[in-house]
Amino acid sequence: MIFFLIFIISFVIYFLVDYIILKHSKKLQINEFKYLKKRFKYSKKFEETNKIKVTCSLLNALIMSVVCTVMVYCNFKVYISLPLAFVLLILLIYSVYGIYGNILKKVDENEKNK
Amino acid sequence: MVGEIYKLLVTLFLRIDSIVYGIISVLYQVFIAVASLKMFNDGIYSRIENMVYMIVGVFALFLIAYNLLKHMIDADLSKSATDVKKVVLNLVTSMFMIMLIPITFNLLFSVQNAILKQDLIGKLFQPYTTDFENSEHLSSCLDSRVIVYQEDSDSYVQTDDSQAVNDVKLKCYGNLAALQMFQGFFYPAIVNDPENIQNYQNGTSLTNTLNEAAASVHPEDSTALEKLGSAVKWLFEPLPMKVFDIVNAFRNSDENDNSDFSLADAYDVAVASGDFAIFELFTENVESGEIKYTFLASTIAGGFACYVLLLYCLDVAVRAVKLAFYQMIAPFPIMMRVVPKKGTEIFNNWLKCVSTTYFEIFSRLAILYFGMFFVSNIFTLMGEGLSSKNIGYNLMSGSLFGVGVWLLVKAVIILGIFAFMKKLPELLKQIVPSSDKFSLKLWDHLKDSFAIPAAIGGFAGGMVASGGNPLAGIRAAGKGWKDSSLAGIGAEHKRRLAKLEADKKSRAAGQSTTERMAHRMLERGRGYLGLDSGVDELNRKIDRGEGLRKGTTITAINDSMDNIQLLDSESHHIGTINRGDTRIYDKDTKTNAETSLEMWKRRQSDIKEIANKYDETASGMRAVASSAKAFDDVMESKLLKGDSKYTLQYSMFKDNQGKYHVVYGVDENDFKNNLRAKLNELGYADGDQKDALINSLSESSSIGNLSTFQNYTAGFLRKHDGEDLGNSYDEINQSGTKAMDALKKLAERELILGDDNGTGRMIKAGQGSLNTLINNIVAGKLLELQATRDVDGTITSATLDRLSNIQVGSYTLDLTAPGFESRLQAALRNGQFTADELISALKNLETAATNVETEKTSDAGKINQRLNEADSQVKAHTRFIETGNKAIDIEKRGNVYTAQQATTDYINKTKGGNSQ
Repeated sequence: MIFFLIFIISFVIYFLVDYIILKHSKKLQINEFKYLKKRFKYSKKFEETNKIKVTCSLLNALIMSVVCTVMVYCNFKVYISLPLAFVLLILLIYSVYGIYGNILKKVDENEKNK
Repeated sequence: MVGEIYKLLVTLFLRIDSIVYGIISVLYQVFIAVASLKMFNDGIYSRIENMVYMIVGVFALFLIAYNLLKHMIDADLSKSATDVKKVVLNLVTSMFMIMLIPITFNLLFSVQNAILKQDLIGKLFQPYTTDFENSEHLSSCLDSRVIVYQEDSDSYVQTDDSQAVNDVKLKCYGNLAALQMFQGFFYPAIVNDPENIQNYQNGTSLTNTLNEAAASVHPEDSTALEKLGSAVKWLFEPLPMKVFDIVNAFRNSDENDNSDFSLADAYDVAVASGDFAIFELFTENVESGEIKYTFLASTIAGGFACYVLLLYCLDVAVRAVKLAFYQMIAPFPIMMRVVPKKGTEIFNNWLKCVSTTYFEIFSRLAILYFGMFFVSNIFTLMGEGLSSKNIGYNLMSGSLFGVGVWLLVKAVIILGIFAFMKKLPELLKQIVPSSDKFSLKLWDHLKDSFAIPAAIGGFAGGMVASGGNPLAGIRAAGKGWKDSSLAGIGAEHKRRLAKLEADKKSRAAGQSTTERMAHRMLERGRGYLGLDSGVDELNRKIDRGEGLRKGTTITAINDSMDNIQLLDSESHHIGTINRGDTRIYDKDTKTNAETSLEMWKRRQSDIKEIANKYDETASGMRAVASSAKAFDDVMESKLLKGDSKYTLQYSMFKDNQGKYHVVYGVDENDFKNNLRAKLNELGYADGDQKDALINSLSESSSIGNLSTFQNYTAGFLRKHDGEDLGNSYDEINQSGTKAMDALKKLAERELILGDDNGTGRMIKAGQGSLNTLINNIVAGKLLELQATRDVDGTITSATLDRLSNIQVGSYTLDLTAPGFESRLQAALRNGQFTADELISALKNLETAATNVETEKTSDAGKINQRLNEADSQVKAHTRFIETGNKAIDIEKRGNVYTAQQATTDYINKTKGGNSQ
């Protein structure tokens, strides 16, 4: 229950923030895409799309809800759970975005080959 | 007359003032109570702490983690390794800070409570005793109020506990402030006259005292010297003290009150209890002019003080909620400080808000105490002005100002202090700028705290304004929550008016209520789905130059839900273009229009058909109703006049057109005649079919048979085949109580009847229903008690037999034969006994049953008595034997006490017991 609740809330928040902030300024890019671009070095042609925004929001929501759910159910003291949550977040962000970045890279390469 | 009105006014305003000044006292206490309020106690806080902290913390950590990863990857962002080090260091610090949040907030609240409970700020402003503490008022207040419950002795005892005394003092300060202000408007008139004050000692003339003392002065008479000394001392006393003395000596003259209450006593009571109604005892004094009471001004001044204190209370309440909120979201700003620049800004803002909110209470308290300090020391502060030496001269008249004027001045100054208290937070904000502004408008304070009440009020108001529409209530509640205002109610009212207007228009356009409602619902559905409105559709149609039907004049009316209602030249409704309607008109316009028209016509004929049917049914029902009316008329005209019997026969039939008709007659012949006449009227031709119908209806018709008795009518309704349709009884008397109800009431007297279980145990039968009684009779459950009694009336033997018959008047009703109920009704119908006689018989049954019960109870008592006697005898025997055995034992041991002696002793002791 907590998982779904946090998932939905964080997804909505992320999506709205991205939507509101980036709607009128096409030059701006979401942080996640910047991170992916730097990490995977996409070609210039490959650009941020709405599909990527939604996917990033979904991934962020997934990461946060997983971490929150684990921490709430573990019920550790705050001084243990917060560092633990931080480590878990770093790991999840790195790995989840690693997978997603690789997928995008393949798409990028396909675009290049065309 | 004028005097009466004046007295009435005085009483009224004293009552209002007692409420207003009482509220000042209460608000002061509320302020202190709310100030020390902590929104989250440990129980609640620990439950939500982990959950909220974790979720908020993870959100913040997520952002940090992202930024950290970004910095690690982006060489441009991470200019140096020290940046990353700084972030990590800040992260560790933030986590450490989060751990400390609950402890820190608990510590802050403990400090706050300690300051409030120990009244540290109060002590800062009141390091010395106040005027009031010097006087007897506070001491009496403390003496009478500081009592605590002691469990050991289960009683209330006085205490010197500083905390308890402090709590009471806090309360007293509120009362004191109110009283000080009230004194300005309620004081002995004598204090207005300084010359008289000089000559007014303890309620008597000083001149008289001096004369008396001088006349009786004698070296050995200490009384006269004491009087003289007291008078001389009085002469040299400062004016304020004289005023105090006068107030202390002033007594009430209420004829109805013999308590001989002084004004000083009233002040004591007001300070101790906050009950300002005590001043109503002085109404007579006000009326006689002994007390000066400026009534309207006192109420206005009190109201203003209430207003200022209310603002303070609201601020403190908002502050408590704000602090709780800041505490709840604490992990977020603390974690965000890890993020350079923006994160630090968020943290700093949060810290500033928390500290400002936290210290706000102390500044408010300081201001309040500052004001209270002025109020409670008002006499000292005004002492110079009040002294006879410095009292001002009226330049116009050259006479001295009265003390009463100075008391009014005091009241004005107190008001000024309250006004200053109200403005001081704003002044402080100007000196020390802060994000939190103190507004002088009440609404600005209420806005923050009234979101919930506004939402509730909006819901209720919206419901009322919209005529009970819950959706309107929800809309208004939403607006109330958003704006903390009730503007939503007005909006709903306007919507309602607009809807009524639109309804009126659409009604004029020929739409039925159902159609309007259906369209409205459809429109709302379309609105929620975001479809186009009917107006847009019509505009498109007009743009395309299309008409519904060529050559037809079409009038389009916009209804309440933006649907377009299309009417033809005769104002017939020929169609509706609903909002978002997607019909294509270019090719099929004509067909559609014609279809619409055709459908309308068909629909119209359908409606007509239904309406006709409805009419017929309605007329049929009316006939039934009129038949019932005729029935009643007959009852009234015939039965009330004393006719013994009346028969009504009626039937309802359906003619070839499906229309219902009702025919009735006083007997079968009359009925047939009426039926024949009706059939002729309906155009039935003479012949076999008509005769068959008449015979059939006669046989199947119902017969109503009414019998009248001395006081009752009984009506029976049955079919020709003998099936009973029902019966009814009506009591013919002024009360109009129905006979059946009367009989039921009789039966409801808990008729006690014997049952047939052979034990003779009595049961309560009937339970309020004549039918049950009858059922019991039919089931043979009525038992008769046949008892044989001795000369004392005690039952020696008894048999319970089934009751075989009951006598109703001269008629003997056999209870053992079958068909009791029908026989009873038949006998009643045939007039073999009257309802009165039946009731009388039932009453006899009831009396007999009650007698049986009484006797049974009485016998049970006697039997119990006998049993008790027997029991005591048995016990006596046992004791006797025990005693005898004991005696024998003693004798055996060679003692003097013999068995014979023991027996004699026992008989003497038991007196009348069986000495066997």
